[in-house]
Amino acid sequence: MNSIKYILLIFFSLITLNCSRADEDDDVLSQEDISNIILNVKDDVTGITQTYNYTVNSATNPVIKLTDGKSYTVTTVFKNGNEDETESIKSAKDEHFLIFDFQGSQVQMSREDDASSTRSDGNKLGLITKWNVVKAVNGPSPQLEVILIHDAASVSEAQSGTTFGSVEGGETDAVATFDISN
Amino acid sequence: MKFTFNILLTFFGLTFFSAQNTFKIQGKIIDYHDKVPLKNAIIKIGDDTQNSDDNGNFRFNSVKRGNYTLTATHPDCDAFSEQIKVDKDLDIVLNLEHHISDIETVTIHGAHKNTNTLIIKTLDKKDIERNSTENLGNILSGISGVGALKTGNNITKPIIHGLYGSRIAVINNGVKMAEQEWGVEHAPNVDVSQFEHIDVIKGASALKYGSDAIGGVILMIPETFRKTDTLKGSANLSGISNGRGIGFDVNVVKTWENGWAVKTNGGFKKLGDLHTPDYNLMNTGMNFNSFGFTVQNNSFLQGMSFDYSVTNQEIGIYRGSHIGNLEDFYKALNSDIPLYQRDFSYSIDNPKQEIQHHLAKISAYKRFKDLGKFSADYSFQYNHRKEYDLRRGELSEIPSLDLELFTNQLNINNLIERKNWNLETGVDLSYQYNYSTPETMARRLVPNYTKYSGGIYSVMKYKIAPKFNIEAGLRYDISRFNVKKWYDESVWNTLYAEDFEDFYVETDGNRVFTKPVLTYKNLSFNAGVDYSPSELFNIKLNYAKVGRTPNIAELFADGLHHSAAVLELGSMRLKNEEGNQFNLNIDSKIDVLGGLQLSVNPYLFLTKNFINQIPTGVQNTIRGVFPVWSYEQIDAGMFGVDFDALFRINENFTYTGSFSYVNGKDETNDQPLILMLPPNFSNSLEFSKAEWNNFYFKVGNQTFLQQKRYPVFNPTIHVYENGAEVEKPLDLSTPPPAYSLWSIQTGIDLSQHFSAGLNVTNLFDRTYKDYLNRMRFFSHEMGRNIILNVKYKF
Repeated sequence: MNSIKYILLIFFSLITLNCSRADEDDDVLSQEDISNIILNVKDDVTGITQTYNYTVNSATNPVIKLTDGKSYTVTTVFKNGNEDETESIKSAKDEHFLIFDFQGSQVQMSREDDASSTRSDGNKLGLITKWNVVKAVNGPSPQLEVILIHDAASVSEAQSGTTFGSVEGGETDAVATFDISN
Repeated sequence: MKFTFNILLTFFGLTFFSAQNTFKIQGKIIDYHDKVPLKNAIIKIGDDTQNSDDNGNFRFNSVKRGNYTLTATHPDCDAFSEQIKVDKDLDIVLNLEHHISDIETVTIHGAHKNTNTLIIKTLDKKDIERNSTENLGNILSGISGVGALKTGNNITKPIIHGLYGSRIAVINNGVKMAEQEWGVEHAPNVDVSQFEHIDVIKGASALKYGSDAIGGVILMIPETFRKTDTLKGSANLSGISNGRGIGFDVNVVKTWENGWAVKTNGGFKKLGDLHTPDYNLMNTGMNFNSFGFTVQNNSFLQGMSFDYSVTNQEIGIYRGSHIGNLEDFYKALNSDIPLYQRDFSYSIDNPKQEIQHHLAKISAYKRFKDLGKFSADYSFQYNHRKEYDLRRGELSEIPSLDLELFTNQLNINNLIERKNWNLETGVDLSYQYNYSTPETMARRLVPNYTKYSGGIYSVMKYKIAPKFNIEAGLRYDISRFNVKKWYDESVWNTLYAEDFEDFYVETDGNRVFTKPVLTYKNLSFNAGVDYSPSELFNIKLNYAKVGRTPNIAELFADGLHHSAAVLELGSMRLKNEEGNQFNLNIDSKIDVLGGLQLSVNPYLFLTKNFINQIPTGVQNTIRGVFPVWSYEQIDAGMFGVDFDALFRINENFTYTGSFSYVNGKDETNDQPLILMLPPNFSNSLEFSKAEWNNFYFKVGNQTFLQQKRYPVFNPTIHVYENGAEVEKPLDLSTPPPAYSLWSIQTGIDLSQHFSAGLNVTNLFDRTYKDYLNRMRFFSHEMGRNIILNVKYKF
């Protein structure tokens, strides 16, 4: 019975040593999550920049004002709370790609990324784009969907219908919807 | 069964006459542990010999004064001898002791002599050896009514009668495995090749192992060593064609006649990318290694042992299964060819799992003549699970799920055995601590918690008549969770703030910190009968009323499941599951040719508050819209039947066949339960000839019909096609079509020490999908696999 006594002793001494870790009460913030997708839309003629901020789970979408016939230079910024995630996207540029889908809106888009946001396969991420607006309101509820794709098997800048850029595989890291008006 | 005996003597001397030269010696031989008289023992005093009668009695009428050697032997036992002095009439009680291996293995094993009302199927040493490179889930799916819930081929969880996860207990050498079993992609961490046999108890009747295991219990039993001076061991090397893998396991055992034994074992397995008949499955390799060590000293009267085992696994998850949202899912489903392909590789990249499981156990027992056998087992388990997702930049080096589970368990058990009854009573205590580091920089899927639980149980078995046994058990459990959980403020306010304000601690930004304390109590009982009117017929019926405490994920899960593209949400309001189960088992033997054995096991489970996961809405996240699957409680009804046949056609040919069917229904919502094992049957024919160096050749076929009963949960997604928004249903519900697979297995002894075996599974390289494989949306099952193994025994 001696060994049984020892077993009991070990059990109760271990159970009283209440396991705990110093940071067990801490909350964990998701670092890679994106909370805001911001479009800085600069009128190429006036040089005035309008900022449109899409916040996840907000009840309304920002409305981008575009004038037919004008061209705009647009930079896309990703944020997680106050932290700028755009740099981390650039530093892992080969894992990322942006898709722009102008639904019910006729816009010609091209990618203007410099080397810092151009993938090693030659495709540009789409952090800087040029929009030539043909007809901003070309359907009942025009909107722009910006999709950040992570780790696609292959990407292409080519246009398909209203969508600029396509991917094979990959997962959606972030998606933002902006309404468009004149 | 071969018995080796040690004999203990107790003398009750009575003096009637003092001046005589011959004396009477009478006595009785009984079994030490259950007091059953032993017949046909041969007792020898000097040159006189007597046999014990049916009641264990023997009598020497005239023994001369003097010193003698008393010996007692039994047809199945070693001889016993003791010096006695005869100077008066003697009345002797000999308490004979069974060999340790017999006693230890009869506790539950159905194939042994102990009768009980549990329904047990056994995977014996031969089955394990022939499939030594398989994991537990895959190897058990050869048993009727047992299936495997898979995530790819390397992560498999056993399903018994349609139930899995926390509803199944896996008992590793007497210790209930504690390893985050709530997760569908969390497989048991064991090295199957290190066990002598595996028993599967179907249904909830084995109350000794806890009331949570309402589906059944898997008992993994190591070898019981003989008390001889010997050194033995084996080494087994396997080559695996699919995944170009290698498996190696080795064990060495040293035993001594005085009861000491030391065993050490190790295992290693490496696989690269698996392939279907048509393409490679990128990132489906695995690395596995294990180590075990046992030291023990056991005798009939007392014993103690120390056991330690560790498994280490790194498992790749098919790259194509990692998706961001339902649109990604839609694209993956509508792609015939895999989007991710690479040349064969052993490299394991994200997504992947790394799991380490340590188990240490110290146990001791002692037998008392009247109080029975007392045993105490203390075990410690440490489970460390890291799951890596595809993350941006440096975060890809950090697991997004990192759980450490510390479990202490103590069991004290008493077993009293008598001729017509036995009574087993015990206490279970357990203390568990779960820690998830904030360094993952990803929200915790389950919170940090401490769980205290205790249970007491008592199981009585009674032999009413030689052919009729009854059994009844009672168990009471209490569990308490002390949880530390952060909620989004909106979720807390909507769901819990009003009813659970005591748990509130503080608000930080839009997050609320809470400390829920939840207590659950359960009373379970079972009753059964076992009737064998002849050796050719046996019928068992048992009923169990059981309760299961919700697990941590069901209560508190909160997060995104990448490969399922769902958000999982637990509920703190869940109550115990309460089930009523009926199991019937009929075994019969028919004397035709070499013998035909038939076994049929119908069952019925009715469960109130069955915890079920169903879609309850959608949530918009930055990754898009996700369906939310919440744990809810329903009334569930399940019934089914398992059928087994074994036919010895002649001394060389044996046929085995099985069939199983399970029907699960959500009575609350009047729809089938999800993920029920499809009806399936298997047939095999084995030729074996011992004279040809134990040669055998076996051809097998297993057929799974399409599961026609399933709930329809098809989300709708919106995609733009040709400039217009189109609604598309995403069919995630329809099970894949039926399939039938052939396999062959053969083996031979090459010499006294060497043997070789060959397995071919999916012989005809059939392309198919398995309803119970969560990867079925993204890929087909493995193609043909050829496994060659060579074993050396000494």
